[in-house]
Amino acid sequence: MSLALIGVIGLCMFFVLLFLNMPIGIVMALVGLVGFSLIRGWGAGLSVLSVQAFRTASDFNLGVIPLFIAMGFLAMRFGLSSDLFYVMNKWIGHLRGGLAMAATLACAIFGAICGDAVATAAAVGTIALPEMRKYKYKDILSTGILASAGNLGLLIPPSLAFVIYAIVTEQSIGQLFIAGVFPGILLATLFIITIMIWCKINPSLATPSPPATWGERVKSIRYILGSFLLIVLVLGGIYGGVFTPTEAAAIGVFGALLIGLIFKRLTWPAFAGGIKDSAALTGKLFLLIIGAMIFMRFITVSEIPLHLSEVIAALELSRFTILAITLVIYIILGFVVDIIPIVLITAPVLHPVLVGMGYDPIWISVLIVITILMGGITPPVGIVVFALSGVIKDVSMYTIFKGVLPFLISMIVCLAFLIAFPDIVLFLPELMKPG
Amino acid sequence: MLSRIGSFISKILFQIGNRSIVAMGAVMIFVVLMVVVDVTLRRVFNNPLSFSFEVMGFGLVIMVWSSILYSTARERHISVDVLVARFPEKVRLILRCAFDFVSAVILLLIGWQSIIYAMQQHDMNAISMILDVPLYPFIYIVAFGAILGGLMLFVHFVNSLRGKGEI
Repeated sequence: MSLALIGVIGLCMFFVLLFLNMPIGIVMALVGLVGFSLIRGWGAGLSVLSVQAFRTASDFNLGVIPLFIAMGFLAMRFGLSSDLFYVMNKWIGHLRGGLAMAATLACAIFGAICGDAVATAAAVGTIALPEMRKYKYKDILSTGILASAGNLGLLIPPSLAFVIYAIVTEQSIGQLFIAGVFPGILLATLFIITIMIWCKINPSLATPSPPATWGERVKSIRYILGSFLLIVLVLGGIYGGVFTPTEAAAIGVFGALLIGLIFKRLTWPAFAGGIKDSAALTGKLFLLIIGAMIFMRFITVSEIPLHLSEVIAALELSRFTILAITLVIYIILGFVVDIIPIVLITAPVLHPVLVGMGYDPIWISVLIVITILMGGITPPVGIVVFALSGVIKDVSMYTIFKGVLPFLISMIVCLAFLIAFPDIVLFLPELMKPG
Repeated sequence: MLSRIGSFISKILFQIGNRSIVAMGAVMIFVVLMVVVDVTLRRVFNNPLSFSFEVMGFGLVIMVWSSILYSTARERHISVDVLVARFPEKVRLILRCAFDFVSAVILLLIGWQSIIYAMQQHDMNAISMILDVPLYPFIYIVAFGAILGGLMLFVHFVNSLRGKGEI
């Protein structure tokens, strides 16, 4: 059997098992082990298991993952996400659709502390959704914005998707982080504009809540100070080259604990809860990453990336057509698979092909991440909507999908902006000092 | 009698899984404090801790494998359930049993191979580059985490066979 044939059979097996609901990390480890062993022998295949299990777990760069996860969950347990919504509500909650806008801004700012979309949506949503229902916001708007705005957590640094993308494509984590800042701000702005337009067209979607006095607004600012200090410390440190992203993550955990202490929220249940949540997500992600590392060894020895490049070159398509086809593939994958596994599986194969065509690696990474996020909320499957409908049980998936559509259009507009003006992505990374 | 022994063993395994969180939390705090001291010494006194990079790597092994152990004891790992959610319950149960079994085997294989790898590193006197710390104890931690995780998944498999737990 030729190497390419083993590679193709392996990929087919991988997708069959994936869609039969086998845990993704285990699918990758299993297919990687069998495929690698068929090519290099069972002795070599079995030793890949232990070497990758140790090397991946002890990789300094991957240390950014458990630490940023812990920072996000500790901040959530110390109430920083509810504080953000509280402050935003005081300032803009009285506008028509203001609570939805407040939830968007809270997601955007909390996204700069927490690197996960579901955690961001859950952290803000648990506070924002009951509040929006209290003021008779229609489910179509409230669930639509929560499903969409959670994505900001994966775009605004520290983003777990960018960490994984940077590691598997051997890019600078710090530069990819910083590249997500302006696209994240642009997307949050587009979401807010969408809410304003939607509520203007259909005022029955949201009833304005009573306005806060200026005194209350100014007083509320102190609740946001902790979050801002944490963001400035972590992102400023990475951007200014003061410390590496892994060190920034550790300092972020320290900062979160310090804020918990200052605001008298550092209780044992909050701390233990934060660590437990972090361990659960870290364990899941690392099993996935270890599986992916084993799978990538197989993909490399099967020479699939090389054959893929040859096939693409033989097609003689323009580089823009190939970019468009790639983005469509990512949207389709985003329907059914979480962003992290998609990045782990595809980035090592597709990223070098696109960069080889002359696209900027940072720009292409941001485009791909946004495209996968779009897939996650696109009907009829959208995995994020599917997950959200499991949490908000009294709202149908159909309603959430209807609510998500206007924000999906915002994401398409955002993508178009980034394609037309690459500097939105590249401006900050180019100014960045080396870490 | 057998089922009593089985439930006793699974209880112990889940206790260990849940307690692994203490190891994760303690190591995380240690790593965080070390990095804060290191960055302060480097930026203020231009005198960094030379070993912090290495100690962080060792700490990560403990953090990562205790997390895998904990998450294995607590919940199911990331999978794509969009298609299978539409299958009949019996088919879902069969798939779940099969995949729990395969998951257990993969983790046990990682554990077994890690023991062999640790013994090789021990025989070769493999040490870290800065602190000269032997590497094999940390590879044994991987083996310990993987074997216990594999056994836990085996308990999930037995529970799935008996029709217990979420499908």
